[in-house]
Amino acid sequence: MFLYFYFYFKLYTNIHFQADKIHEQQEFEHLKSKHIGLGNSDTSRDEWIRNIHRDTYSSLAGHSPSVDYISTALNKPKVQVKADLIEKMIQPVEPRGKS
Amino acid sequence: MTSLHPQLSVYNLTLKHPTSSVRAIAGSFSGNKRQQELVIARSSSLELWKVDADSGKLSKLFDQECFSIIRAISSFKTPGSAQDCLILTSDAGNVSVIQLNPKSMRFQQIQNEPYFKSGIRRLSPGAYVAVDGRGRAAMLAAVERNKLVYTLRRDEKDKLIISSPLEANKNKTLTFEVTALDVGFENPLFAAIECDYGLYEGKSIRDENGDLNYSRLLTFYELDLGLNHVVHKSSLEISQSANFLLAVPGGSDGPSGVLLCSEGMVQYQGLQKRGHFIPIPRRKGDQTPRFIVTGVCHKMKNSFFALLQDNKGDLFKVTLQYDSESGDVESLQIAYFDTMPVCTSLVIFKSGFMYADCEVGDKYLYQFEKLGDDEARVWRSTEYPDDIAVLEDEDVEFEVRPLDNLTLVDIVQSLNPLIDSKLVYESGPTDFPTVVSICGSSARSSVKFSKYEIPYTELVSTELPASAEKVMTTKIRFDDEYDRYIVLSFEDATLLLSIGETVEEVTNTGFVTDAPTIAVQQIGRSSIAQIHPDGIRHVTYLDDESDPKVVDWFPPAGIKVRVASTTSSQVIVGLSNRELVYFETDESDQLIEYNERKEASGQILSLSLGDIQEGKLRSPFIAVGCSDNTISIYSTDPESTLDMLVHESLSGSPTDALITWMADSLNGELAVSRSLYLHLGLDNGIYSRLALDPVSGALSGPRNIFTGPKAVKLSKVFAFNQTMVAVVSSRSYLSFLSPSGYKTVPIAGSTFNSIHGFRSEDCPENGFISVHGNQLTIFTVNNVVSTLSIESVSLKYTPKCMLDTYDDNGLVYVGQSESNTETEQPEEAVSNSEIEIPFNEEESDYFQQFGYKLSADRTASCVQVISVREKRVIQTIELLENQTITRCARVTFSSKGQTYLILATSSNQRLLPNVNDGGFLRCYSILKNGTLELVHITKTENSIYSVAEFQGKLIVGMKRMLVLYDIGQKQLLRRGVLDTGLNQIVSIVSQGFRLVVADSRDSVRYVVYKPAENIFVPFADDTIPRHTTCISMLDYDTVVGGDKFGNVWTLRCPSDISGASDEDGHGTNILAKDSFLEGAPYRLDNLTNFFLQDIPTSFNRGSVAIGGSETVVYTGIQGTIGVLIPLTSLSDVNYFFALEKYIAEEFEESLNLTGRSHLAYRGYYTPRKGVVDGDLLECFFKLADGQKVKIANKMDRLPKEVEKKISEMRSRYAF
Repeated sequence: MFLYFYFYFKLYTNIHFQADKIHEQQEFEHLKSKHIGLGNSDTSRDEWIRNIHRDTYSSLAGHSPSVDYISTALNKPKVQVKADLIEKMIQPVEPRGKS
Repeated sequence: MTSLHPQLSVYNLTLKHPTSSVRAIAGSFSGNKRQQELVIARSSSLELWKVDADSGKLSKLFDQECFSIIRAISSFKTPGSAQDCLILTSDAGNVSVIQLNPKSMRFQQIQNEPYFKSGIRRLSPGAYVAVDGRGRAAMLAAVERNKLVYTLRRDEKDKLIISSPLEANKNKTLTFEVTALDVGFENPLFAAIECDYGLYEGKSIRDENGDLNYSRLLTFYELDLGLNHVVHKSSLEISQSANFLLAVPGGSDGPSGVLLCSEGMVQYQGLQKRGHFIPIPRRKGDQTPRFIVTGVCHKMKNSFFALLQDNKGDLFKVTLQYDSESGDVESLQIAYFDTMPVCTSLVIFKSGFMYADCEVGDKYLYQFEKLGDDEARVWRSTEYPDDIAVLEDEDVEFEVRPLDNLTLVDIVQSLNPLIDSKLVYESGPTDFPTVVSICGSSARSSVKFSKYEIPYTELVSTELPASAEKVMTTKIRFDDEYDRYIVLSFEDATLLLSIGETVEEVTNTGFVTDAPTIAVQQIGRSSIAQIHPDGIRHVTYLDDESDPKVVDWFPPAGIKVRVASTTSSQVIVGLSNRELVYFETDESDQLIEYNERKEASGQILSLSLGDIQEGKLRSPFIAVGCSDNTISIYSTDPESTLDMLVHESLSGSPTDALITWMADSLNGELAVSRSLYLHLGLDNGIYSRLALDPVSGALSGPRNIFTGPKAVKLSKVFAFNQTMVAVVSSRSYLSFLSPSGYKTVPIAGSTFNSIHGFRSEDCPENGFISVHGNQLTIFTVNNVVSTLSIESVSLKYTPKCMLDTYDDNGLVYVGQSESNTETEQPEEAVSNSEIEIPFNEEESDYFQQFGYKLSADRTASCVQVISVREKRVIQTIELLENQTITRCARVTFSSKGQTYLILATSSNQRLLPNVNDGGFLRCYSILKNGTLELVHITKTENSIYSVAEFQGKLIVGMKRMLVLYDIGQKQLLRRGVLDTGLNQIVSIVSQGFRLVVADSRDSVRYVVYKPAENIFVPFADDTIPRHTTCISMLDYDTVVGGDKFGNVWTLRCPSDISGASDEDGHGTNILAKDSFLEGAPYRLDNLTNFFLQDIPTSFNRGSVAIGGSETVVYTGIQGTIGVLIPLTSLSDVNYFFALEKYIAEEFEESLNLTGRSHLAYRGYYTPRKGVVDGDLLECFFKLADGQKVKIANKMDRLPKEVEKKISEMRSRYAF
C-alpha cells in the first residue's frame, strides 16, 4: 500500500510530470532525427505535407519507369527530370507567412 | 493468395523484356583480359552483350531476370584480379556483389549485405553507387541523408569480402550525384553534389522573380583505410545548376580530381587544387540552357580524354594539360566532337567502338574514325580566369555537322518509351499478330511493327526455269568440308548445280536428270546415291577428270519408288506396292539389298533413318509413316533387321518423319547433352516432336505445334552449334533449343517449299538454301536469340495516341505532339488552323540527329496516316496555333451513318502546372483512300483526355465531366453530361449501355446510360484509389487496367449488381440508393493484382500463337510486351500456384541475385493475387538438376513432365 502511494506520488507530482514531458520530447526528437517523417500530435500540417512531398518526389525519382513516363510527357532528358524531382525536395512547398 | 475457387486466375508471360536501361558498363566480366563485354542493367534484369570487333555487330549473349528493381550498378576490379565484378543496389535493400560465371554463362551473387529496409525510399542508400578507381571501396548514397562506405577486399582464398559499412550521414542533406575519384593507391576519395535544405527552412528559396536561388555543395569524403573511418574532407559552395561529376584518372595515369558540370560550364575541381573553368559551347543561334547529361572518361596508353554530352545530344571532347610530376592541372580544353541522341550512358570499348545507350528509341554502336584532334575551334581554360568570365563569354558558338569523328556501325532496335499499341493480324486471324506500337520521343519517334519471327539475310537469289519442289545439297567425297552440289528436284526433272566461286549448272554427273529426285546421299568414300522414282543410281567418282561409274538398281516392273531415307551407310526406300527395301553398304562401298522385303500397314508416306552416332556403323531405327495414320519403328540391327518395334496411330497422316539427335540443355551457346527425337509432320498442319527411346524405340512425350493448314515437311539443318529442324508448312519455321526450352519460330516473311542446310566456303555457318516457286534463295540467319523482328516507320513528333483501322483500310493514324517546340510556320499565310505538308526525308534525317529547336511553352503537333503494308507515311497534317493532341478515336455517328476521326486537342498547353485555355474536338472525315479531311472544330471548356464511340455518338471525358456529343453541321452538339466527381478522366471503354470510366487517380467507375431519361448513372466503383493509365474490358463485367506505379489489376462487377443496373430501365432504383462513402452505391470485386514493374500503357485482347486462344497482351512504357493468359481449369490453377511456390523457394536459394523475395516483388504495392508468374516458372529450366528433381518430387511428377507443362504454356498461348 505504501509502495503504491509512493509511486503515485512520484509519478504525478508536477515537477516530475514536467521532467517526463521534456524527456519524452527529447526522446521524440532523437527518434525523429533517426527516422525522418516521424510525427506526433504536435506535427504541423506544413511539416507533414513537406514530408509527404519529399517522400513522393524521391519515390518518383527512384522508380525508373516513372522517370521515363514523366520525361516522355515533358520532353526532357531523364537525368534532368530526376534532378528536378530531387531539387523539388529542397522546398516542396513554399513556406507560409514570411518569405 | 487464391481462395479455393478463384474467380479468375491468369498466367503472366513476358514476350519482350523492357529496353530502357539503368546503366551500361563495359568490362572483362568473363575474366578474359583481351575481351570486353557489355553489361546492360535494365530496371529488373541484367543483360550481357558482346561486340564483334570484325563485323562491328552487337549481339546479346543472355539476359537474366532479377525479380527486383535494380537501382544503381557499377563495376569494379579488385587489384590482382582479371575479372570485373558488379556491385548493385536494388529494392531488396541489399548491396549485391555479382560475378559472371563464364562456364554456365550466368551471373552469380557472391555477396549480399543488407543495408536498409526493402523498397525504394528516401533514406535508402541505394540511389547512387560509386566505386573507387582501384576497386578498394564503394560508396552507397541515398537521396537524403544516408551515405555508406564499404571496403572491398579479397581474403586468402581469393574470395571477395565486403566489410560492414561505415556511415557518412548528414542530416537534411540531399544528394544529386556521387562519384569516386581515382587517387591511385592513396586513401579512397569520394565526391558528392549535395544540398543542405536545413539552411532554407522557414524562408523561401525563390527570389522576387520566382526563380530558384540557393546553392549546392561539392563535398569530398575520404575513407581513411588506416583508421577505418570516413572523414568529411571539405565542402565547396557551387552553382545550384551543378548536376554532373566525372572522375579524372589519377595515380600514374592523370592528375586525379573531377570535372564538375553545371549549366553552361565545365569546371575542374580537385581536393585542395586550383579550379579551372571552360564553357560548354553553344549551338549557333540557340539560347536555351545547356548542361551535361552524361559523360565518359577514356584512358589510353599514355593519355586520356573525356567525352561529355549535353542535353541537346552534342558531344564535347575535354582534355587536360597537367604536370605529371606534381599532378597540378595547367589547363582544360573543350571542343565539339559530334552529335548523337541523348544517352543514359556512353561506353567506350578498347577495340575502338562506342556504345550509345540512348535514353529513348534505338540504341547505337559507333566506331571511332578519329579522336577529333583536328577540330579548329577549341576553348581553353587559360582564356577564363574564373567562372563569371566563362558565363559572360558570348563567343562560344559552334555549328553542328553530320558525324565526323564517329561512324554508325550497328543499331539495336528498342521499343522504349512505348506509348500505345494495337494487335494487327496481317496474314489472317490464325497467324501470329504484328504488335503495332508507337514508340520513342521527339524526332526519333516511330511506329514499330514487331513480329514473332527470325529475320534472315539473303545472300543469293536466282530464278529457276520452273517451279522446283525440293532442294538438297550434297558432298561428293567423304572428307569434303563443304557441300559440292545443289540438287534441285522438279516435277519431271533434276537439275544439278555445282557450288564454287559461282553457282552454275553441271552436266555429266552421272545423275538421272529426266526424273525428279527423292533423296540424294553421299555414300562411302567418293560416291553418291540418287534415289528417284524409277530406282536408285549409285554414282562413283573415281577422279575429277574421268566419267563417273554408274550402277543402277530398279524396282519390280510397274512399281515406283515413293519415298526414301538415307544415311552414309544405309538406304531405305518405300515402294508403291507398300514394300520396304533396305540397303547397306559393303566394304567396297556397294549398296547391298537386304534379302527380305517388308510390307507396311498402309501406303508408305514417309521414311526416316536418322543419324549415325559417332563410332557406330548404322542408325538403329527406321521410322515409317503410313497412310493409315500410323507410325512404325523398325529395327536395322543385323540380328533383327526390319523387325517392327513400335506401331502407333496418329491424328493425321504422317507426310514427313525425321529422326535426329537434338540438344537437351545448353551451356551458353553449346549443347551439353543430347536426346533422340522423332519429328513428325502431319497432313493436318501439325508438327509433332516425340522422344524416341534409343534402346527400345518406344515413343513418348509428344509436343504438338500447329503450323498452318498445309501438310508439313521437315528437314534437318545444322546451325548455331546445334541440330535444328526446318519445318515447312504454309509458313516455314525453325525448331531449336533456346535457353527457355524448345522453340518453333517462323522465318520472316517466308513461304518456302523446301529448305535445306547449306555450307560453302563463302557461307561456312548458319546457311540455308530454299526454294519458293521458281525462286532459289540462299540465306543466313544472324541470330536465334532475339526472335522478335522489328520494322519501323519514322514519325515526326512524340506520339500521343494511335487509332488502328487496319481491318477496314490497312492504316493506322497517329496523333503526335511535341512540347517546347515551335511548329515550322508556313511561309505563305494560311487562314486554316492546319496545313498538310509533304514528307521531306532530308529534313527528317536532320531532325533525327540534331533534334528540334526548343521553344518554351510552344507545342508542335501533327497527325500522320501510316500504311501498315507499305510501311510508309501517307499523309501529314500539321496543326497550327499551339495545339497539343491528347487522344483520338473513330466514331460512326448513327445520325449521319458515316465514320469520322475525332481528335482531341488542348490549346496553349503548359505543363507543371498543367494549365491550358480549353480544348478542341476536331472532326475529320476519313476519305476512301484513308486520308483525312477536316469537317469542323468544336471548342470545349476543358482539355480532353479520353474519347470513345458510344451508342452511335461520341463520349468524351472532359476533366471530371462525362459529355456525350452528336455530330452537327457546323460543330459537335452536346447531348448529355454527367459530373462524375472524379479528377481527370483518362480512359472510357464501353459495351452496350455500360461505360467504364477510368480516372487518373481514382481507379475506375462503372456507369450505365439510360436512354429513356438520357442520364448517366454511376453504380459501382473501386475500393483503392488507383492512378490508372489504361484499361480494357475483358467481358461485360470485368475490366483489366494498369496504374502509374506498375501494377496490373482486374476488377469485376458482382453479377447481381450488374444485372440490377441493366434491369432498372430509368435508373431510379440506383439513383435512389445512397452513395457509399462518397462514391457509387456498390463496390467492384478485385480479382487479380500483379506488380509488373513497368508502367502499363495498353491492353489488347487477341491470340498471339497460331491457333491459340485469346489472351490479354499488355505493353509497358519501358518497352515491355507481355501476355496474361486466363487459366481455364482449376487443376491448372492449383498446379501452377503450387509449382510457383516451390520454384520461388529454389530460385531464391540459388539464382536470386539481389535477395529480393519474389512474392514481395510481385506484391510491391498490393499483395499479388490471382496471377501466376510464368517468368518465374521458366526459371525452372535454369535450375540445377538436383533442384529440378526436388521440385518435381514435391509436385509428384517427373522433371521432364514439369518442363513440358511449362513450355507448353508458352508454345500454346504465347511465343
